[in-house]
Amino acid sequence: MIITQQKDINEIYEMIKDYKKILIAGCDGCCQPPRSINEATVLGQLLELKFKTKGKNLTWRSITVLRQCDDKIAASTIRPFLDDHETILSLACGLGVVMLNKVADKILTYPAQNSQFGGAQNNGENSFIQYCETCGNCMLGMTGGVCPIAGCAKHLSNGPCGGTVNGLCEVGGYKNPCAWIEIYKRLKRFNRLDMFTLYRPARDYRPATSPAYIVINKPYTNEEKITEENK
Amino acid sequence: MASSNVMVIGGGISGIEASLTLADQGYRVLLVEQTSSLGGRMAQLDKTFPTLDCSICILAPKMVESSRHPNIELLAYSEVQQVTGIAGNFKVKVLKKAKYVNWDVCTGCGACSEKCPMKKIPSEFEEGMGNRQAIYIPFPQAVPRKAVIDVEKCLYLTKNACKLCEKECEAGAINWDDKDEVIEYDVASIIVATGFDQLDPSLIDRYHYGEYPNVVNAMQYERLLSASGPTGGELLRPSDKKHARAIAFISCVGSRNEDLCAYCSKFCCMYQTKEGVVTREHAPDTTVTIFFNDIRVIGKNQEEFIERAKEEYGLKYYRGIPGDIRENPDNQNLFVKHANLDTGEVEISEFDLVVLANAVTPRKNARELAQILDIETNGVGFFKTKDSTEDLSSTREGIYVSGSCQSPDDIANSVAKAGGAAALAATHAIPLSDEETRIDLPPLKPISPLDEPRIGVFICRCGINIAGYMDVPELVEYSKTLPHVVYSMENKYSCSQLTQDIIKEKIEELDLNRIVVAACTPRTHEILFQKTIREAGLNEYLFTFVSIRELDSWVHMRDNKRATDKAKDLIRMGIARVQYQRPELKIKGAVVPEALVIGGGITGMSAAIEIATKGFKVHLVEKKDELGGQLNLIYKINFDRIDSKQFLEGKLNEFLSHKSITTYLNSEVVDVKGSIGDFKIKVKNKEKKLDLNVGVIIVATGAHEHEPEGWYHYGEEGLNDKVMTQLELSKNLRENKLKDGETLVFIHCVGSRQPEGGKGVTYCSLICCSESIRHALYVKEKYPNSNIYVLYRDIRVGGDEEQYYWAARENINYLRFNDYPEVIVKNGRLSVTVSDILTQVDLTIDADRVVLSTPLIPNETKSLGELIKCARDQKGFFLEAHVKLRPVDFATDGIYLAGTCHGPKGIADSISQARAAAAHALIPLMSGEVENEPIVSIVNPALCIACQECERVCNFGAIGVNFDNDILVSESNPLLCKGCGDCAAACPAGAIIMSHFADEQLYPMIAEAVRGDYVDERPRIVAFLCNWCSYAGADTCGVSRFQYPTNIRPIRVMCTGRIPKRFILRAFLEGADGVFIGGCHIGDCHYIEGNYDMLQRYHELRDVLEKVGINPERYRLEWISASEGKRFSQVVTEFVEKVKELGPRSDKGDRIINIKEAA
Repeated sequence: MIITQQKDINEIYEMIKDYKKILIAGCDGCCQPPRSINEATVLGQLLELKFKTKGKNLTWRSITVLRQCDDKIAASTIRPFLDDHETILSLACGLGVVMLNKVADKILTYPAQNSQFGGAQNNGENSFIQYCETCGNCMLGMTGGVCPIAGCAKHLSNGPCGGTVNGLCEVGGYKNPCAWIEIYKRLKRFNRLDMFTLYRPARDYRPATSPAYIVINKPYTNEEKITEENK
Repeated sequence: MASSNVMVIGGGISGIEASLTLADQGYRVLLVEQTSSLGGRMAQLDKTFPTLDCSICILAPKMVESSRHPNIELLAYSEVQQVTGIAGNFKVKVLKKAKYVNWDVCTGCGACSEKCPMKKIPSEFEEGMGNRQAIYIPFPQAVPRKAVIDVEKCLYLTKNACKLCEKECEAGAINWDDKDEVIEYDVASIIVATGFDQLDPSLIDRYHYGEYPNVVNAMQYERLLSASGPTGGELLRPSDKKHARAIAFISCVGSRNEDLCAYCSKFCCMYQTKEGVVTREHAPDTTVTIFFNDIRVIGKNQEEFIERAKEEYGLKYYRGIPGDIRENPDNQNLFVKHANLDTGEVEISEFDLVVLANAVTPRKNARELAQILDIETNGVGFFKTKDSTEDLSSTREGIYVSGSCQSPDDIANSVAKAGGAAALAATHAIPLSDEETRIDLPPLKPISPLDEPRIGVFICRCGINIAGYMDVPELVEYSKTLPHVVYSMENKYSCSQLTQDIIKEKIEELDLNRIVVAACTPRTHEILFQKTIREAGLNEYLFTFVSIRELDSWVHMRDNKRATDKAKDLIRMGIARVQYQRPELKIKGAVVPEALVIGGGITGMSAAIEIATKGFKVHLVEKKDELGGQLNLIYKINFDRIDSKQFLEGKLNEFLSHKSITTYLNSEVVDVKGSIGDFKIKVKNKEKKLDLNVGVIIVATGAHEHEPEGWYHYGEEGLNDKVMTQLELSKNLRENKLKDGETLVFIHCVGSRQPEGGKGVTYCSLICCSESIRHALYVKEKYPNSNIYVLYRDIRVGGDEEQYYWAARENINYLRFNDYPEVIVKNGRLSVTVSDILTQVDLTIDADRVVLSTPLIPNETKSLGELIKCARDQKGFFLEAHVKLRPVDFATDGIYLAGTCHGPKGIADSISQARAAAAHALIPLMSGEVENEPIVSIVNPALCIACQECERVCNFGAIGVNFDNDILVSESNPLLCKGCGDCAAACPAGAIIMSHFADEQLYPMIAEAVRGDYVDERPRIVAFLCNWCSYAGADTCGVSRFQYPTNIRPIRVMCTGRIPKRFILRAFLEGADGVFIGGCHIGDCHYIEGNYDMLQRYHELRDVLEKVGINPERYRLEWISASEGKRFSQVVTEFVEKVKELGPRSDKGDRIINIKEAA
């Protein structure tokens, strides 16, 4: 899930201060902490108060979208409201903001949030941790399920380095665990230390080149269909 | 064949409570009351101690409930004449006295009384301070509210003249041919709860009661204080109707007096303190002086109440009963001659009014009734029981006694005894069959949310309590102008039977589908009106209660105009809310027919026996390896010296004879899940874990004697047999270890009644004084040459224990101290130094043994409290649902408490409570079904995003994503849901609806709260108050008449956790100048930690408010408890002042912030 943090209310105000009618769109997708309709309502209320301090009236409406990053869902949810609003404020991650700008291309969509990272949720601690950096070349199969790219400060493919003391990493002042020690522990527990001693060649970062673009289930073109039929 | 009928004689609080318990269990109750209304003594009282609840306010709903309970037949204005037969098959002849009014047609309108020429008959209810007519209804809240004619005073019945009432009665209810009637009933058992009378103080001539008009008795004073009393709650003294400014209270008028009443009346000290505190609240410039012998407290939290009375309310206490009262002939003031122990002088002080705490006596006709019932009375005339461990069984099988007819008792004890008596009486009767108990309610009117609301508004005058401080007719006119209001009227007393009938009639006549009542407080009266509208075919939840008394008239007594304006707002808010309310149906669940009792002391065993007697399976869990608890340590019980071992053996035999009881020794409850009707329990002992499934839980974990480490060398080496506690002395006595000729010094209150933060506990342990007297007498008897000194602060014994105290004083030296004595050890000898107050000299006593009276300390309750989610007080005792009226219930349904885990108490009281707890636990067991209020959260699975926020905030495990389902969405368990609404506030997706406190119902209230167009009502503040603490605190504030500015518009929610940020922002957007949130103190949340969730939201929002132009000072979160009425008024006053200072909130934002920005 994408971990987000709401922007400062003044920053949001500065972005949208010239509009009079705004649509505030929450997202029920993976955005965490959850930014659904009630969060959108609270943001609307705050903005209305803010506008009033500048002697302006703001008309707003809060809605929520099942997943803003899906063009079909986003488009169908937003469509009925487009004519009545001058702009959209999105409470999704950056993907949602981009997607709303695409599907509602007559008006601008502004971000109300900063997207932080792709993270996992620890319910017990109410915390979110970045376990994956979406590097495009997964090596978790060799590291017992602990990612050295997201977990190691130096993104080392072969570790640990000399900067670990008592299982803690020198970066950040020996507070965070060394990912490679964790990897060692995991592999040892499953009796797969053979993988620990494997030499891992330098990583190929090309799959993670921005902008990343993947096509899945690409429909057949007419020419391809004819070729297939003729086989 | 045994009957289903149980007769209850006496319609006071004890009789009412016994009747309701039996009726709820499914027996038919015949409730016989000699006057024409229920209520008894409690109805006459102004307030109850120590919480200062308005007495009639908490009693009235019970009176109404018993009059309308389908299983209770009320025989008012009736007397028992004859009882024959045996337990299970009594035949009782009841005399129904001629009333000369046909009650079937009497509406209780009171027109007859107004026209009756006989206007000067002293009213019994007003204790002669006010008058009644010959045809009369005894008091405004009377139930049933019907008139009767006094046959001895009526002009027509005595002199064959008049008949004015007949002309006046439009209903044609007067029936001159009415005759006395005797009806015979078959009953299985009888509960006697006839209450008490009070001694005529004129028997003590030195106080000149009856001669000096300004000497009144305590009950008369209650009436003077009462807002519905003869002076309308003004403290006007009888002689000249002037405000009394200096008032003296005299204790022990006739009590503790060998010639008059050779016993302690027990509760006078407490009610005097209460009357003193209420007096000071009425008029802070009044001085209150109390003359007393010993201040005796008889229950939980009462010691603290007395301390508060001294410190906070400035009541003056003088030890020593005045010898003489003389009237000042000039102004009829009173000169009271009394000792001042501080100076050692005799002083004469002048007072405007003297109040005598006259002794509690048996009813005047107690002896005749005893003869009719063939039961015995004890030496002082109260009904006798078997022995001192038994408060309930009379000397005849099948007849039980409850309340003050057995021994003077306060309300809480009377209620507990009533429950216990009900449990015992039920053993002779068979419950009514389902067929017989079916209630035929009219079918519910189908109401769709699309139907146009048709609202009926009923505005209560509450005598003058409301009408005296605001313009009620204007409110009626105003409410008629509001949308959807079809009908609006005012009532003298909305809680009266008359108004209930009118409401039903109007629902029928005008096809009303929503009802709003503006009256006292929903906390006491909501259910009454809900029942009424249900009887008219309207769903209970189509009703809104608007509090215009506690939240308005009583707190804005000096500003009628603004109070009226505020009431308009409150009523408009109520009307806005009620439109969106929907019919809700009660949630029902089955009850597992088994009970769990935690604790195997005498209390737990007694409770288990009562439940097992009714045929239900009982699991009793005891931590130790034996049953009997503290009884194992005691030698002789009470003054009749029952051998503890033998007594315990008898109980054990009875206990073990019940095959349906399973005992688990050395075991502990380690997990409790579920709710009333279906608790899943895990019990653990050394070997194994065991799962139980029960319907109800009784907690009887008990208490133990405090070991006073650090006091008087206790526990030091070599001194073990020299410095000991009372229980250790008891052990020594059993083992005959004392020698004759020794000097023993008893020191009382070692570790009890200590100041806050002192060495010990703050409370009085209640039972130590009689334990000490008992031991002293026993030692003196067994070892006649011993010297005993008892060093005490106050001697607190109740009832006829007083006589043993006198006996003890004959041969034992009693010395009272203010400063704790010192004990020095020299060469293995003990030497005790004490400063005696009476002789004002320091005495040194060489002692062989020092015996310390130490308090009872509750056994560990924290972990169990967390498991069963029940509250404890700061001292570690479990907290009952209501101090007076629900002493054996927890606030959580299905869990009950009894014995010393509730507070210090003796064996008889513990057993009574155990039986009462059993009786209450038997209600769901016997009906086999429980109902939950439909105030629960409902999840809309289509909107749920499975984020689990609801699960995070729910403290009852009632809601959360169900991982057993294929589709992962949240589910709510309606039987577990307590209705706090925290989840509905936390849900980001708006998927959770809190029924009856839904957004759609609360938003309109927020909007209306700031919409009133009364110009000078600025600042306008929206207040969200949690039902249990702050709303209750606002009620307490109202009941205590603490005044505060009119600016706040309260909105009641069940918990502060229910309040999301959007409510607060909405209030500001609607134009509120301030938002106030009141919740329970951290740690006191009724929903455990709902207030923490509010606290978090509060901080999050506070941080951002400034940025949107709102000074955070306009937004306040306060913790105010139910008892902190005073604080509520202070906090609100202070907040209003603060917001006033900031000025009305303009859209431009607060000035302070603008300055900041400019800088």
